[in-house]
This record gives sequence, structure tokens and C-alpha cells, in this order.
Amino acid sequence: MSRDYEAEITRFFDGLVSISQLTRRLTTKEEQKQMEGKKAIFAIKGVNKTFAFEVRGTEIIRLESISGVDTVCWARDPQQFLEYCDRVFQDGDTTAFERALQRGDLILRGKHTIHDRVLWRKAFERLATAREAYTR
Amino acid sequence: MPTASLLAGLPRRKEQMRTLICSAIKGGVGKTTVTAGLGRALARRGYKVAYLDCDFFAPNLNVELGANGELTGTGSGQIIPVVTPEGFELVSMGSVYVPDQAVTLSEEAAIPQITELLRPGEIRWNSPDFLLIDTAPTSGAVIQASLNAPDLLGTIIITHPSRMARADLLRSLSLMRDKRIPIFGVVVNQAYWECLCGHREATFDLTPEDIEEACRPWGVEVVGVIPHSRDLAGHFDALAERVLVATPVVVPEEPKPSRLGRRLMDLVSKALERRGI
Repeated sequence: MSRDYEAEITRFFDGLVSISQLTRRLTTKEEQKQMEGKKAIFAIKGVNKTFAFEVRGTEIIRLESISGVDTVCWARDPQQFLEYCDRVFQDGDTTAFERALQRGDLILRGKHTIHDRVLWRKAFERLATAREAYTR
Repeated sequence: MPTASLLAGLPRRKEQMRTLICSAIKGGVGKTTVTAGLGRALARRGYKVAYLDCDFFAPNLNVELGANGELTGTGSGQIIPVVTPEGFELVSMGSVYVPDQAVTLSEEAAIPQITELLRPGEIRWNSPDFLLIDTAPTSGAVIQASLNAPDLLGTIIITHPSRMARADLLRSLSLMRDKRIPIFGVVVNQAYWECLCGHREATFDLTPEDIEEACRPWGVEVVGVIPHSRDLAGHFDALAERVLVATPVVVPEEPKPSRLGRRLMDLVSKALERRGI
């Protein structure tokens, strides 16, 4: 997969922060050291929360502890994950996230996963609106 | 070992809910229908009732209660329940899921979510008197996670009067015994249907009396017999009255053999083996 999802999401959704911004903002120095060599973290600023998942090449890496991030989303199958990204970010399918969770392709870990899942859906709705504006 | 009833001996702290789980290992016996009906009957008695659907794989309490809204969240990490048209608060994954997508996540993935929903403060309930929990039809880790609900007063077990359901009822009773969960009683659902002339016909191959007999050795009573009918309000009212004053029973653990007993069993077992029995 050569697509630059980070750039694409940035164009669609102004809440996105880059890996360097995210690491500076959300992690301690120790955690930043742990995250060295990791290619990208996509974070979508939700209604009140930031959600993060990390992509290293086509691999999705589960994030265990990033300060300030309550809920981490990870995928069993990176390829499926990228297809899911296509559906959300290209087709504007806001239910793709929920479907992937129901199938168990995506897994949420954290303290308030259901709360954050509900808010994340709202974020996707905003994403879809932003995408619509972008493609017009 | 009897414990206090739902009403007796329960000085309520502010914000304290009385939590009751409606359970059954067998699927399709009407857990959701009975959960909803019991809640409505408690509400008719002036109690404020909230519902939590812990059936993560096929949540339907939102359908039964006609709740169309979506769950929302507060900025401080709390889930805000959906309010049903009848005014009940409800948290069900049925209000989150995409309806035409099967839920195929593993039990391991579901358990942390159930634990999350049961954690005090995770849901912003509006001080209900009763929290009724609907569970998944399993004896696996998913229902065991539900049984860890804080301040859980106990369970009612729902069954059909059928041989298959009776087999699963015994498994349910043993699960509650092993987990030390007080049992408020057993509800025999879809027990019979009644035609317009008043004639009653059994729906399944057993009767409520057969179920009573199966429960007797466990010290557990049948607290409700619900027919197969569209008009069930009166039957759920009777069930609520019974459940409110029922004395829940913690079934005593099976006596475990002593060390001497185990040694004797080993000796007998080996002797039988030697004789090829």
C-alpha cells in the first residue's frame, strides 16, 4: 500500500495531528523513546477525545500506552484495516468502522471503549461532511 | 441458604441500584421478553427501572423496548443511556451496532466491554431503583463477566417447560451455585397457550409442575408462569409481586469428598479398572 493515508486524512479532517505533533503532545519522553522508528500514528480528534492507531508500513501496531489517549484501536489483519480505511476515507462510509468492530476485524482497548466508540462515530460523521466539502 | 428479598433488609444508599440479572443458558426462552416485562411491571408499581443489555452478540432489548435512539457520551467519559418511549433508561449495544452486520468478535474481545459497562460510574444512570440486566445465552465467560456486576442482588432464571430447556436449566442452576449468585426464582415462559373458549394447551413437552419438580432439590421456587400470549401485563405484574418478596436462595456448594474419601474413591476406581469394569 503506497497511499499516504496521513496526508489524505489531513486534507479531509482538520483535527488530524502528525506523528511528531502527537508524540510531543501525548507522550512522555520515555514513551517517545519507545515509539522510535514507528512510521505513523493516525489520530482523529473526536468530539472530546483523541483516538490513535499506528501504522508501520502496512502493519498496524497496537498502542498499549500513550498518555492522553484513552482508547486504542488495533486490527488483526493490516490489509483488512487498510481496506476499511479506504471505505471510511474514500467512500465516506461512516458505518465501516462499526461493521469492522462487529466483525472483530478492529478491536478497541482502553478504559472507556464503548463511550469512545460512540464519540468516534460522531467524528466519522464529521469526517464524511468534511470529505464531502473537500470533493465538491 | 436464603438471603434478603429485593425489598426487605435493603436500606438504600443514595444512588444505589438494586441490580437483578435475568439469565438462562438456553437461547430463545424469552430472557429479553421477561426482562422487559418484569421492568414494566416494576414501573407500574412506582419503581424507576433501568435496563442494561449484556448480550453483546445478539442485543435486542432496544428492539423489545422500542428504543430508536443512539447512545451518546459525556465529555467526562460516561455513557448516556437511551431513553425509551416508555421512559426507561437503556444501555444496549443494539443502540450502537449496525443492524445488518453479525457480531462475530470473540468472547475474549467482548468481556472487557461487558466489564466496562458494569464498572461503577461508567454509565450516567439517573438514579433508578432497579437495574435489570439481560444476558447472553451461554455459560461461558461472557455471562460470568455479567455476574460480576457490583451490588448484584441475584438472578432470575428463565426457562421453557421442555426437556431441552430443563437440561439447560439445571446447568444454569449449577452455574449460579458455583458462582454463589442468589437465585430469586425460576420463570417458566411460554408455558401454555389459551384459546378463546378458555381451553389451555401445553406449548412444550413438559409442564410448569415438571419444572417445579426439577427445581425442588435445589431449594429454588418457580416464581412465575408466563403463557404464550400477546397480553402479558397481568402475568408480569404477578411475577413482579412474587419477585419483590421472594427470598433468594444461594444453593449450597456440592460437598467435596474429604482426603480419605478421595483415597477410597481412587482405590475403588483402580480395583474396578483391574477387573475391567
